[in-house]
Amino acid sequence: MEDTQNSAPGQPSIHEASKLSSTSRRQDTQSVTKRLQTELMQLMLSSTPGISAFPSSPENLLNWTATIAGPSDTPYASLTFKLSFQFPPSYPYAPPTVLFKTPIFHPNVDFSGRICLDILKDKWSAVYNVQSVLLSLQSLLGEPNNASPLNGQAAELWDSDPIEFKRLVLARHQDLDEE
Amino acid sequence: MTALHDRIFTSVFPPPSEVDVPTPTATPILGSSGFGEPFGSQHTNASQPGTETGAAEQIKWDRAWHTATTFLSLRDEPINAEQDEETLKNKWIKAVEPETPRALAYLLSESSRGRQIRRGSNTDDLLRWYFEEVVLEHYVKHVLPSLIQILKKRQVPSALFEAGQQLHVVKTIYMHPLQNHVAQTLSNGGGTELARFETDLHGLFMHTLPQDKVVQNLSGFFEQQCSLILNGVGKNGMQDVVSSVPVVRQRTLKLMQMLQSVGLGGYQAQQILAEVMSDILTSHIKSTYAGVWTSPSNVVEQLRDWVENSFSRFVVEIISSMKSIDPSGTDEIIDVSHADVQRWQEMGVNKLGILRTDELFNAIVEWENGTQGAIEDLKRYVTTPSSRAYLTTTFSSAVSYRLLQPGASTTEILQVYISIIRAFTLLDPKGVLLDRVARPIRRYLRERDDTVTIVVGGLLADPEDESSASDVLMDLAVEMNKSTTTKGEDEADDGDIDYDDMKWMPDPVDAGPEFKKSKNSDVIGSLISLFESKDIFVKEFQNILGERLLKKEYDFDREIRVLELLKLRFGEAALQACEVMLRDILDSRRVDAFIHKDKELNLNDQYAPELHTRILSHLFWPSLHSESFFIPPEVESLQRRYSTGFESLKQTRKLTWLHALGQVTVSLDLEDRTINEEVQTWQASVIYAFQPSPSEDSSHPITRTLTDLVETLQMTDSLLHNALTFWIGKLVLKQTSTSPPTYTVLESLSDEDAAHPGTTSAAIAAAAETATSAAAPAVLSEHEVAQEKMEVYWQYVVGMLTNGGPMPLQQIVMMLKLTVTGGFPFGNEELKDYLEGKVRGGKLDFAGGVYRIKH
Repeated sequence: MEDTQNSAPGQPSIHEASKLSSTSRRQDTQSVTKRLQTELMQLMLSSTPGISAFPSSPENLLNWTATIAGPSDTPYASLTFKLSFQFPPSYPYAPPTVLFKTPIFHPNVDFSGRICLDILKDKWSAVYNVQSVLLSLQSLLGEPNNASPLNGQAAELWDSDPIEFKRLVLARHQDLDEE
Repeated sequence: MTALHDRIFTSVFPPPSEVDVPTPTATPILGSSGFGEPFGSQHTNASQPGTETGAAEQIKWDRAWHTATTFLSLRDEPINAEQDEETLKNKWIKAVEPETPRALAYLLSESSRGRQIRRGSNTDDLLRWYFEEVVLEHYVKHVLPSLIQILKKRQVPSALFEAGQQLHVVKTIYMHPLQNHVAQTLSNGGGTELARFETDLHGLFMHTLPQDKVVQNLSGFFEQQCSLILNGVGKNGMQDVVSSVPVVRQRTLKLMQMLQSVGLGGYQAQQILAEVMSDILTSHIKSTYAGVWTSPSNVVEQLRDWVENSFSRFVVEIISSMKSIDPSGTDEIIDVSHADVQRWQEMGVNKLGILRTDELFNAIVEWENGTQGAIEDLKRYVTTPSSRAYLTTTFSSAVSYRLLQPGASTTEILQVYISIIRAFTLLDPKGVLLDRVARPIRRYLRERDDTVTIVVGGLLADPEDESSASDVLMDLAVEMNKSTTTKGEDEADDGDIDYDDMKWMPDPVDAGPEFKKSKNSDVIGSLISLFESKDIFVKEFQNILGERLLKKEYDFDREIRVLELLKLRFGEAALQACEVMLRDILDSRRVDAFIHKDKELNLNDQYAPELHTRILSHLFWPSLHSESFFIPPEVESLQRRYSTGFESLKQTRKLTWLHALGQVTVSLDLEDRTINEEVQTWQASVIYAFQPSPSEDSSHPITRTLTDLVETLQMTDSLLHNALTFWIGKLVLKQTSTSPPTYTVLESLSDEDAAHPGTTSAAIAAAAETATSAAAPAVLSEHEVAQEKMEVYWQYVVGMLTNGGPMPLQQIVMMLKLTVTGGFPFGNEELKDYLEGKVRGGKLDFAGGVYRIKH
C-alpha cells in the first residue's frame, strides 16, 4: 500500500520527461524538415550544373540522394557519382553523414564510400548546406587532400602515375543500377 | 356413342333451357311422373306434406309458371327511349290475361304447395327468375351497349341526360309488371320485394356502366354549370350570376333527380362534385392569376372574395339541388357552413401559393416591377413549414434544372442569383428560405473559375455606361451605388438583442437551431462571401484594379469608392495592397509632373516624344508582364534621362521599365494620309521598325522581312504577330510575300486596295478585331503565373529523377506535394500534360509507365 503511494508521484514524472523529450524531438524534426525544404528550394532555383540532390523518399526528408558529375579536367571526367545524405535531427548544428554510393577510386574516399573531408567532420558549420557540401566534394575530386588519405594507393598514384590512376578509377567505377 | 354420351351428360347436368322454358299448356303429362313415380330427388321432399299427389301439384305449378313467365317475358329488342309514352306503353306493356293474376298469386304465395315442392331449386322464386333471366339478359343485350355508346359521345351534358333518360325508361318498363300486377298478390303489398328488386336494378346499372365515362360526363356537367355561373362574374359582375342561377339550378336538379332515380346519384355524385370543386378552384386560379403579377398585389383578397361570393354560391346551388331530391338522406349531404367557405378560401390561397411557387423561377428571371406582387402573394402562402418546404424544394429543383447548367454563363447565373436574393429578402426577411435556396447556387458558383472575375468586374462597372458589354454584371454596379446610401442601416441590423424592437419576430419554425441570419445577406455581401476566404476575392480585385489603373487615364473615382466600400467589409489590412496601388498611381502623377519640370533633363523637347510614367511599387502589385523588346532609341534616351530625374528625386529607389505596359500615341505620316492611333507599346515598336534608316532610300516603301523584325525587335513571336496583324488591319502594312514573310508599308492606298474593300478590308477588319481584342492584359493571369511557377517545379522534377531514378507520374506528384514549400498547386493531369511537353521537347523519356531524365 505504502509502496504504491510512494511510487505513484514518481511515475508521472518519468512519463512527463519522456513526453517532453518526444515533443522537443518532434519540434526538432519539424525545424530540420523546414530547413531542408528551404535548402531544396534554393537548390532547385539555383540549379548549379554538375550537382543535384533530392530527398530519396517522400516519407523521410532526412535522407537524400545526390549526384555529382566528375569535373571535366580530372580523371573523373564524364563519370557521375551518387551519394547519400543522412541528416541528423540536430541538423544544421551537426553535419550530415555523406557517403559515396558509387564505387570510387579516390585518395580521400575508402572502399565503403566513407569520405575524409574536414567540413563534414570538425570544420562543420551551420552556414554550410547541401549545395556547399556538394560543391566541396566536386572540387575534392579534382584536388584530393593527399596528406590524410583513406586510400593510400590512390594517394600515391595520384602524383606518381596519373595513367594508372585513371585506369583504376575507370576500373573501380560502375554506374549504379537505376531502379 | 356420342348420343349416349350426351344423354349421360345431360342427365347429370341438365341444360338450363329445359328448366327455364315455360311448360306449354298443351304438353301432355309425362307418364313417369303421372304415376307418382319419384320425380328425381324432389320426390322425397314433396312427399312430406303428402295430401295431394306430386303429379297433380306439379302440373298445376307448371301451368301457372308458364302463364306467369309468358306474361313477364320482354321483347327481344332494344327499348327506344325517345318514343313517347303511349307508344312505349303499347309496345312494352302486355295485356293481362285472365288467368295471369291467379297464376302469379299461386306462384308467389309462400304457402302454395307447388312452391314448397320446389323450394331450393332455381325455379321456385319467380321474382328472382324475372331479374336474372329476363331483366339481366335484356339489359345486357340491348340496353347496355347503347348506353355505353351514348356516354362515349361525351356531349356534355346531353349524353348524361340521354343516358339518364334511357335508364329511367328502362327501369320503368322493368318495374311495370311488378308494380302493377305482382305487388298486389304479395303479402303487405310487396314493399320489401319491390325495394329489393330496385336495389338490384340500381346495383346493376351502377356496376355495368363504365365508371370513368360516367365520372367524366358528370364532372363535365358540373364544370359547365360552374362556368355558366362563374364566368358571368368576370364580365358583367353579379347581375349575370343572378340571372343564370335559376337555369343552373333547374338543370342540375333535373339531372340529379334523374341520376338519383336510376341509382347513380347520391354518394358517388358527391364525391365527383368534391373533385370537380377542387378542379374548378385550380383552373380558375390558373386562368385568372397565372402570369399576372401586379404590385401592390390584392390577388389574395380577390381570390377570397371570389370564393365567398361566386364559388360557394355555386356549390350551395348544386348541393341544395342534390339535397332536395333526397330529403330522407339529409345526414348524408353536407350543409355549407361559413367554416366551409373559410376552408375553401384557405384552399384557394394554397393553390395560389402553389401556382406562384411554380412561377417563382420565371418571375425572378424576368424581374420587373410587377414581380413584387407575385412575391407578396407567396408571402401569404409560406406560413406553414410544409408550404415553406414545398417552396424551397420546388424552387431549388427549378434552379438546378434550369439554371445550374453548363450552358448558362456565369454572368447569367450571378444575375439570377442577385434577383433571387432580392426576391427572397422580400419574401422572408429572416433569410431562412434564402439560405436554403441559395446553398446549391453558391456551391455551384464556387466551382466556376470566372465567378470572381465577373463579380469584381461587376463591382467596378459603370452603371451609367450603356455601351459596355453584355457580360458585365450591371446589377452589381447598381447595387453597389445603392449600398453606399444604405450603409447606415447595417449597424442596426442585428436586432435580436434590441429589446425595444417592437417589430421583433421569432425566427421561423423551420429555421435550423444553428441558423443565424448572416449580416452580409444583401446582394453584395452574399456575392463577396461566396468564397470562403476573402483572400481570393481581394486577389482578384487587386488584379482587376491593377488592370484598370494601368489602362485608364486619371479618373479613378469609381475605383476609389469601391475600394472604400470593400475596406468597410474586409477591413483596411486586407486591402492594403490595393490602397498602395491606388496611391502609386496618384503619386505617379505628381512625381511625373515634378520630373517634367526639371529643365536639365530636357524631357519636354518639342521634337522628341513625350514620356509620362506610372511608378508602381512592384511588391504590392500583382505579377505584371515584363517582356522586354527593342525600344526606339529616342524613347530609350528619354527613359534614361527620366530615370536620372527620378533617382535624384527619390534617392534610394531605382526605376525598372516595363516595356510591355503602357500606351503610345502614334502619328504616322504616309504619302497620302496621316494616321493617329492610340496603341500598345509593342505595336508602336513594330511600326517604328519600319522607319527608314538613314542609309535607306526613303522614296520607296519600306519593306522588312519577319526575320529582320525578329532580329531587330527581339520580341516574342506572339507579340510581334499581334502587332503586325494590328497594323495590317489599320491598312498601314501589307504582307507582300509569304516565304519569307515580308511586310511593306502602304504609303498610299492604291486603287486596287480601295477597289476591293469588300474582300480584303472585311478580312482585315476581322484581323484587326482579333488583334485588338487579343491585346495582352497588363496583369498576368493566374494561369500565366502558374505556368511560370511550373518552371521551378521542373527543376524539382529534374532533381528528383536525376537522384531517385525513373519514377511513375503518381510518385512524382507525391514527391512534389511533399517537397515543394507552400504545396504543389497542380493536379495529376496538368503535370502529365506538362511532362508530356517535356518528353516531346526531348528532355524526358517516357517508357514503361515511368519518366526518365534524358542525358
